[in-house]
Amino acid sequence: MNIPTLSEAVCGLLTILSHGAGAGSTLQCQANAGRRIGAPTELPLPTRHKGRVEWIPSALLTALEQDSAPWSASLALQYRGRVSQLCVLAAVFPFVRSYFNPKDPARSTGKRWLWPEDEITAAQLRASTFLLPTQIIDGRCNVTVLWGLETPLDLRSDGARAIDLLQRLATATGAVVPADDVDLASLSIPIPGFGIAGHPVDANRVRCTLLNAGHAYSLEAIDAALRALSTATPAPARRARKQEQAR
Amino acid sequence: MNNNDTLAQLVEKAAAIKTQMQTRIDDLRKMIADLARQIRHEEQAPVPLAEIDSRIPAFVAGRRAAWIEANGNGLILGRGDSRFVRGLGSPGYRGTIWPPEGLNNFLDVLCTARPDEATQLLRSLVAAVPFEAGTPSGERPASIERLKVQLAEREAEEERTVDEAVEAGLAVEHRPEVRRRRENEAAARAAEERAVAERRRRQAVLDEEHARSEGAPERDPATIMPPTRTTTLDADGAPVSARASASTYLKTGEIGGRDGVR
Repeated sequence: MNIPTLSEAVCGLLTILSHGAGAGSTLQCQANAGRRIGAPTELPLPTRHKGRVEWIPSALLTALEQDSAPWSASLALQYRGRVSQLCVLAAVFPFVRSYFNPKDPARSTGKRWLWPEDEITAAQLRASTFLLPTQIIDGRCNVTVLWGLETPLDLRSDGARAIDLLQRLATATGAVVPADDVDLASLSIPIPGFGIAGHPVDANRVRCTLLNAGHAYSLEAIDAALRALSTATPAPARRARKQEQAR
Repeated sequence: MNNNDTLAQLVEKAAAIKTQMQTRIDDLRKMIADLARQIRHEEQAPVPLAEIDSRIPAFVAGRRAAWIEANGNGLILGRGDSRFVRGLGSPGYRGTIWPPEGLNNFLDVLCTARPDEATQLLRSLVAAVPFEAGTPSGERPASIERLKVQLAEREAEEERTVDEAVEAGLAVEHRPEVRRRRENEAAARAAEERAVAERRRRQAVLDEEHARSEGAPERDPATIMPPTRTTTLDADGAPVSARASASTYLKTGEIGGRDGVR
């Protein structure tokens, strides 16, 4: 599997987030203020483009060159300051890093901050097994898996449906389940190339580990996949039947 | 027929073609100038006499209403509240009557007192003035649009013909506006190419830096910021901070977790 370059990852993310956007919509990007005092820096990107984003927008490119603070993009598109459309479904897997000696965890010397690489990989595999993602963004403390939608969900009429889909996806993949009253405007995705949220001195950067920018699903396909998962024979039952057949 | 004859014929034929092309270009330029003049005329020319005639009664009625509004009260009751300046209808009529100032405006007075005669007068005046009328105002936008389409076609044909003539070796220059447009287009294209190249270079640098940082050994933040937090495990043995991170997302969607210590 080819790991996309940073430019491809950022352009791919912007393409996926604004695929099928309505006229006049904006994608809200925001710098996480972190330890700095003051209002967060916001960057509304107009989604005039209907097709692929070819270049990183100038303002974001400058931020990438100059800023190491974590930046995130809103999951939902906005129209005149209100969430309007959801062009992508996401599942978020949170992780924490630990401080220990990798050779001998019992030792009190030689400790290092380490991310749970195995768990991170397992989460990505779990999500990929469920349904091939359009993009996976590894933000270390938050691995975000995205499934692009062929036609965006109108949040002004289908807001509850969007939350329901996000919840079912999270349950199916073992991700964090958003609350029933989650504010869709506050859901955000880390942008590749920037620092990791909450870890200003961590040398890692947010990276993209999978990109299939042209891959989008219809709502029916996602629904069908979720239904298939919920009606699948549980593993212990399958094992028992096999043993019975063997006997 | 010998070779010299053939060459002479060819030269003659080439000269004839050149003359033909030059004539065609000249004709097209004349047509372009003529069409541009027609468009200017359509945009600026007065409307026909019949349309002016139809406007006059409304104009007269307007002037009449305005005069009555401005001077009617003065004519009947006098100017202001001075008791020495009386109007024709002042109750205590005595002394000199001061006419309202509006009486000095002949046309307005005529429009107010004799609207029909004012209309006739204005019609006669307009008819006496010689002018070149354009099309009626209702038909004008369509007419201008049609002329603009014709102009664009002729301009394109002229440009194409000049290009062909230049290719054939004829010393003909494009019209100044074509030259200016082509220069502007070339400059815009060059600027765009420069911008794209610059953008590509910046992105390539970023890509390279990002790829390099992926392979770099991890910095140990402990040397910069020693951890002060102690680990608290919950009933399942997971660090409480992990649950806090998840619950933060659940409530607000905020990203970013906290560290755990093994």
